[in-house]
Amino acid sequence: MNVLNRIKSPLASAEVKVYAAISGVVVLLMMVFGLVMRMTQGQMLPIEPGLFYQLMTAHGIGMVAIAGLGGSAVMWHFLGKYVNLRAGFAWANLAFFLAGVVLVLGGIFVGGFAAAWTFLYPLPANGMGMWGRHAAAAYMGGVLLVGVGMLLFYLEAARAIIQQYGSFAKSLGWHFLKSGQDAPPATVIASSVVTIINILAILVGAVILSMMLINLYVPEIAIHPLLAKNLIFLFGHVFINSTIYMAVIAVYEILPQYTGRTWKVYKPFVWAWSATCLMVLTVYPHHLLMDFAQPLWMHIMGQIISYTSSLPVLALTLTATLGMIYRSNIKWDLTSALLVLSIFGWSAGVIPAVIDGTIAVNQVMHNTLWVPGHFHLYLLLGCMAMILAFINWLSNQEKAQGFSALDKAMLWTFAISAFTYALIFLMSGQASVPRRMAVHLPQWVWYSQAASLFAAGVVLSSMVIVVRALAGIIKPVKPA
Amino acid sequence: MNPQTVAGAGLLLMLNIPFIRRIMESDMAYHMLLQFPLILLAGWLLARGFPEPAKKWNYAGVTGLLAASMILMFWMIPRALDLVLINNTLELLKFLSLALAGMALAWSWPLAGMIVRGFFLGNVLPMMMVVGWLYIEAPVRLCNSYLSYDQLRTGSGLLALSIAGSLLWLYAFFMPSNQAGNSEIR
Repeated sequence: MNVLNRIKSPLASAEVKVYAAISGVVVLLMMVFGLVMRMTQGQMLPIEPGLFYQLMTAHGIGMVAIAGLGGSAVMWHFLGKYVNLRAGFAWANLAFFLAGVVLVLGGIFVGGFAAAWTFLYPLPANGMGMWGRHAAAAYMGGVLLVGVGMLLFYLEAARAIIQQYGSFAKSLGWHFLKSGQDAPPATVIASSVVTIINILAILVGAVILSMMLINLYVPEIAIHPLLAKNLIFLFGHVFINSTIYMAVIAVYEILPQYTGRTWKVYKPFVWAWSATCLMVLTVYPHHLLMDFAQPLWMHIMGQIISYTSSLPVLALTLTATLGMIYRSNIKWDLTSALLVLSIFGWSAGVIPAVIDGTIAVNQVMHNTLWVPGHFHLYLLLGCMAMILAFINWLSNQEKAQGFSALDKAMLWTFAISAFTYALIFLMSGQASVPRRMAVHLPQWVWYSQAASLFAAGVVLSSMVIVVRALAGIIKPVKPA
Repeated sequence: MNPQTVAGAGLLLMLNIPFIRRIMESDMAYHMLLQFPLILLAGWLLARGFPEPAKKWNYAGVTGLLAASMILMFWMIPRALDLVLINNTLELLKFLSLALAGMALAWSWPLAGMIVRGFFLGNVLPMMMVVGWLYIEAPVRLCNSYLSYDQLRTGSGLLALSIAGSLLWLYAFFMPSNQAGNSEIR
């Protein structure tokens, strides 16, 4: 069988549209939370620190979850063109997801849980009057439920891929490395990597969440804090990394339709994705470089893999994107522009991470706003731009559309605001402004005030893009 | 009679010989990590000689795998381990239930597709990890009949088994298979 032949090519199914719509709406809400937090730090809003930390927790877990859901929409839609996915599993994932979100939000806004999305041990069990153990249990139980749904989603993806390609060795293209024949599509390679890493990450997440739930109610059974941190970051870091690896499928699939060129799979591409599969699982120790008790070899591994982890896939995607656009007479519209912008955001966002992954730098920068600068550049201008492009493309009946003045205005507002917003985080980090603080010193306040302005630009432009896209998804325009 | 059934019955009888039972139950690690899997294996082999339950009661192996995971979960409770050493009825129940779990696994595994198997393993493997951690980290002896050191070794063994199981499961994803359209994939 020629695996390059697509087995079906329908417009987006109902589950993909629902995933995309929920992602769009929740992203906007989480962006508003972010704006409120920056305005609070800029002393422009009288939000109590307790509420600030609740918003911070909701913003963090909400963005991770919704980047996961948005990325899943992209992966499900395009992977479904090559393998036979069953919609029931996407709906089951959504049901678990929504049930989990209810528990998480209940834990945060009813129970007062505010231990940040990373729920680092032993903080959830030590609310010191701000929240009780039931609130922490609701939060962690909710995250566990989201994980159960995602496990179902990835098991279905694994089943469908293996049914079509025989094994992951084939869907990753290892046979192509030897024979140079029958390369799997880029979408299948990326989906296979994400499926493998996320099944492992979710299992690790289930272990640490269960351990922490037991510890909440039987505190005598303690957890080794460093083990807990390793497990949490193995789970959380892999999961958030995988969101961009799912969302980038939009670049592989949509951009060729604008340039009239195909996204060819070459051997370095296969090598790069296979290397990423291993490196993404081992890169998380760069978040533990300040933990003196961590074994030295893990620190060294964290630094080295920080340098190498993102580069193979990113470098190839970046050069292939530029090659695809060059002299292609690409048809520019909001979708194609957001996709190209996303590759810039991804590429630029990796740079501060590599800098922070250097042990000597990490010692002074890791607990500053430098790190939010990295992940906002990477996720907001990278992953979110891909997801916004996908939503917009769905609303345009999966075709190129005109590039209206409003589209151009919103694109540039989004690009400039998001970039400057992330840049202010980086500048704040360079000025040693600590992260995860509700109240800032007077000399830091202007950073937050300036950031609020650009955050408002991000919210406004995203709102226009999402609302218009939702209108197109909910009530498609009939072709003339 | 099916030779596998004979082997299963023989293994079950052998495990019940008082001398062998005493040796295996004298150490917590042998008890959980050797005797339990051997009883499961005996049950698996025995299943060949019994008629399979109606498929409508065991659709895609869900009922059997669920039952097996519940039985395994119960026998990971330290109190249950303690009780079987002083109560012969419970000891008999332990043998019967674990053999039954082995039989349920034998009947259900071939019926189960990747999703059901994945969900079963996704439940049992983390459960073994958590119980292993509990045995290692508990500040007190959890079983009256076993020493703290036994508990530590059992916990480490459970952790090792679950990690090995996870790696094997992952490895299976990479194995060439001709599974399109057969019952392995559901």
